Amino acid sequence: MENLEKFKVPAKMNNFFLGLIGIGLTTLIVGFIVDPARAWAGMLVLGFYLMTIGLFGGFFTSMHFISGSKWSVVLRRVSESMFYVLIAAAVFLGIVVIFGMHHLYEWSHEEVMANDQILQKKAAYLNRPFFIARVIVYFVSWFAMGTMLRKYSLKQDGNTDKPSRGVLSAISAGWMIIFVYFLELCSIDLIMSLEPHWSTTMFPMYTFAGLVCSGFGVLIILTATIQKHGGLKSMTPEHFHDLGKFQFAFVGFWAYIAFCQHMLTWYANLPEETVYLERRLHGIWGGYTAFLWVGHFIIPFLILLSSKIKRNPNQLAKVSWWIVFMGFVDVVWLVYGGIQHENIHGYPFKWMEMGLFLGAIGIIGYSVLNAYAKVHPEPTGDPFYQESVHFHQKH
Amino acid sequence: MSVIENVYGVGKPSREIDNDILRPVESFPTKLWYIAFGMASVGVVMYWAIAGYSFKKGLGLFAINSPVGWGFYIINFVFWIGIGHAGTLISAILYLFRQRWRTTINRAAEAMTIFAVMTALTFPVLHLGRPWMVFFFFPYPNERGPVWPSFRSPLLWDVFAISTYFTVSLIFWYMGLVPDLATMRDRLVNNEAKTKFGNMLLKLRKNAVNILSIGWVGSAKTWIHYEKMVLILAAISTPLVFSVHSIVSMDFATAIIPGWHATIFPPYFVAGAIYSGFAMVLTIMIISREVFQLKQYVTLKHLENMALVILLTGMMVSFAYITEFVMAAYGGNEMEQYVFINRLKGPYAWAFWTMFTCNVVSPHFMWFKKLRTNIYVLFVISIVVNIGMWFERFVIIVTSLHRDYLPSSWDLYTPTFYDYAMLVGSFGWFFFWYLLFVRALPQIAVAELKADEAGDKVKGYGH
Amino acid sequence: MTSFEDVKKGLYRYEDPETGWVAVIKDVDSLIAAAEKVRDAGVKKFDCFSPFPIHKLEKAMGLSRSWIPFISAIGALTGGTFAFSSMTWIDVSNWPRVMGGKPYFSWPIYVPITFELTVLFTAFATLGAAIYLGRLGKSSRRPVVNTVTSDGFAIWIGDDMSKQNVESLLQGLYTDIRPVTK
Repeated sequence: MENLEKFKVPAKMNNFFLGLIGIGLTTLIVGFIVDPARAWAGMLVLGFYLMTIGLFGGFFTSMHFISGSKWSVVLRRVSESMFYVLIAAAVFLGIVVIFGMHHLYEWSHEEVMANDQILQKKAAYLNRPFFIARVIVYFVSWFAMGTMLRKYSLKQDGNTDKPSRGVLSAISAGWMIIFVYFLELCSIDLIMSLEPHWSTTMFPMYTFAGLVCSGFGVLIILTATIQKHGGLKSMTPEHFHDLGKFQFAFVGFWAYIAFCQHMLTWYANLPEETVYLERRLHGIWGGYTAFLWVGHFIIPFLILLSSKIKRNPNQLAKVSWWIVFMGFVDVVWLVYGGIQHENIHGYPFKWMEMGLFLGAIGIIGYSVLNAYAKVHPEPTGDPFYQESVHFHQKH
Repeated sequence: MSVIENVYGVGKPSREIDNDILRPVESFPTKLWYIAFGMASVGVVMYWAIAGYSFKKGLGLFAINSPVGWGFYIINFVFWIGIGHAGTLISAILYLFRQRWRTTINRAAEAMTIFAVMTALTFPVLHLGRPWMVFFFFPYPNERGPVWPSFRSPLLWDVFAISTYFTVSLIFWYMGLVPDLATMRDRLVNNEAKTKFGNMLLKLRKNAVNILSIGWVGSAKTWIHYEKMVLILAAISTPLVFSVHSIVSMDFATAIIPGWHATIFPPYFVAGAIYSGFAMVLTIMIISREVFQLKQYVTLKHLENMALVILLTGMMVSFAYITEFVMAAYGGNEMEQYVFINRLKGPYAWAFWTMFTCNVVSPHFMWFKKLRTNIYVLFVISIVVNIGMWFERFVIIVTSLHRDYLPSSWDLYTPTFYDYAMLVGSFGWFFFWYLLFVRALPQIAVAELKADEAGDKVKGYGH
Repeated sequence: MTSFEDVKKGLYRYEDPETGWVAVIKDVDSLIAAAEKVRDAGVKKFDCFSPFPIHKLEKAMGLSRSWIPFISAIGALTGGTFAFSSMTWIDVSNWPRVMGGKPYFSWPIYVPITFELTVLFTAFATLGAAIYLGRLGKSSRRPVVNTVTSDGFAIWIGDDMSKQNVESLLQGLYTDIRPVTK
């Protein structure tokens, strides 16, 4: 058991991230003055995007324990710290859910509900108090399980009372079940009910695929950044190669899920499903959708085919920046495409969305790196730590 | 370096590994094998006899009727294709993930894939009614005017998906066998039989192995290309295995029948396929390791890993069931809601609850280490899971069809004797090939195992 | 990315031992050491034989990367293009039909078959390349030493060299040295 020096976030970097957060908040304030409808939608995008990044931290950590992975031990502290993005997500989503519901969710207006046969059937589920209660339950459970996982994981570095890997995988399994089922309901609540007539079974999977894609992107960027500034010395190109492979695999997975959802909806053309594509394939949205396919799948897929790029932290991080950006574009596509069109003026991605994206980056960078700086940087107490450090690609 | 016990290492010299694994191939079959093979052959005869009879009599032999146009044939087809998926998963995905435990089970699992696909393939062809017209499926320039198959039909996608899957799996499996075939060839060189007839057989055998081993001599200059080929085949098989069952699921999901049309079907079917496939691998490996004395190679740890995969995929399948119910409830479409209520309470509720018990409940026994390291429990659960997965397809196909939009055309589906006989016969057909395989070819990838063993001693060997 | 020079160097191929010496090597480590020595001695015609792949040998023998991935990529492109363009041609110009109210050119439904044929062509290209570059397919060929497909290791030195030279070069690594008989 060795003691490593804690990572210190350079002051310059902190200022940079605070600056980005400033840009994000300014954008929101200006947005609320200029175009409140759009600003509410933007805030939902921001909150939802941050939520996916935070949840990815928990997902990666628990997947690491459940699958018994050894290679990922060295970078586990980073993924654990990513979990803290959930706090910011809770703040933004809380504001949206409590104050902005009427601006976003058609069904929250009683007169709309009363005059719509289909919506009346959903009244037991889609109503304000139940909705708010659900969102609170999701976040509380995620927080509770996630902090517990982190607490036990940190205990591994202590000298006494070390939790075994079995205990950690049991907690991870519990987190995973809560994560999966609440993510399903959460994606229905926050995004699907924006278009209350629409429903499709693939959608929770689609949310999950996007979550993993941008989550791996953020993880790669963060580890590369930390390494650049003197931390995570044990990480080798082998680890980045593996992260890159996962990034590659999940870019493919996203495309698979997105394609199946798109093709089956388009093929069957059922009214309650097709409305989703109908709104997103015409006019301005047609080009935006095509951009999403090309940018979220084709470009990163072709670049990541090269194993040289996957092994080079700098180059890999560049690709990941693009994927993280496209993840934001994807959430904008989901949210803005779902809201009534007249509320969104002009092209779906304008200065406001760009500002919010920068704000999101600032929040992620600031909260994760500072949370990471507080803890022992590498889980040296893990029985597989050495194996992880000396890990080699076999092919 | 912390010391971590290597749980998968056999720790035997290469020569002894050869002896252990090639023993069933180089010795005469046992009585048990003859009995099993005899039973499988009876199944094969029955299978093809009924198939032949149905050519003459038509599909009326079977229970399919007007609302339920797809019956046992399609259920069996989806079931067997699903079984095959574990083989590719083990050989390709676990290879890419560097899972050491795949080495001793991948050969048998891949063989299982190939035979399962061969079994599955027969069903849709027989279901054509006029199977001799099967060539109509293939788009080739013809003299029937410009007449092409419809590329918009998911059934045609199946033709492409499954033939590609079969071909690629066969290539992967055969090329994996080549170094082992060379081992067999070089072990046979000095063999001589006692009788004249024995010598004739031996010569035949030598010739077969000579041809099949395509001049493999273990040169480093061949290995380097060979390894690259294995990597690329693994890399393309991974999305392939996803695509195949996704396309099978699209046979249902592109339709607008409630209970069939669900966009989640592709990943849901893939998870189900891996689930049932791993259960089948588990069943087969539990028997094989016992009969062929391979316990040192396929250890309890291997079985435990497979049990954990079953647990994981079982939970994915449960997630998909729940998602379907949640969306049916949320979506508010009465037709959709009726189908799901009908599944729970209708005339086929027994099938649904069988499926539910087998697929959703039974894998959870695997949480307990005591149970998942108990061979008997594993064996029972592996069979239970496959029963459940067969019923899953039954539930999807029959309950969605038997009560459609028009109550006047509702009907029940009661399988006939021939339906059951074809189901049993398909197992005969599958095991017929599998039993031939275990006698003719090494069940464990010997060269790969040796590479792993060498890699245990010093890092940097092997792949 | 691999440079074109690398690709050209990757064109080495197996050749059948016809002249020279075969040394039976004790174990894996000796084989790697022997390969390094032979490479450093400037021998061009030589080869190592082992029952399983040994990655360190590539470097020890001075072999460069296999260029199979390039052939596979060509296979993939051919398969994908062929499938997509022929379906488009058939549906749009050769036999246009309206089905399910979908346009003649409906790209989403071409994706599954395009994907399958991409995979199929890639597999064939990869298989063909491995067989061609590895010089497989000659069933009458036999290994230089019978044990290299089981537990033995061997190295073949084809360049003109006396037995003494080979012995001194592989000092302490071999168990037996014999001439190649053809």
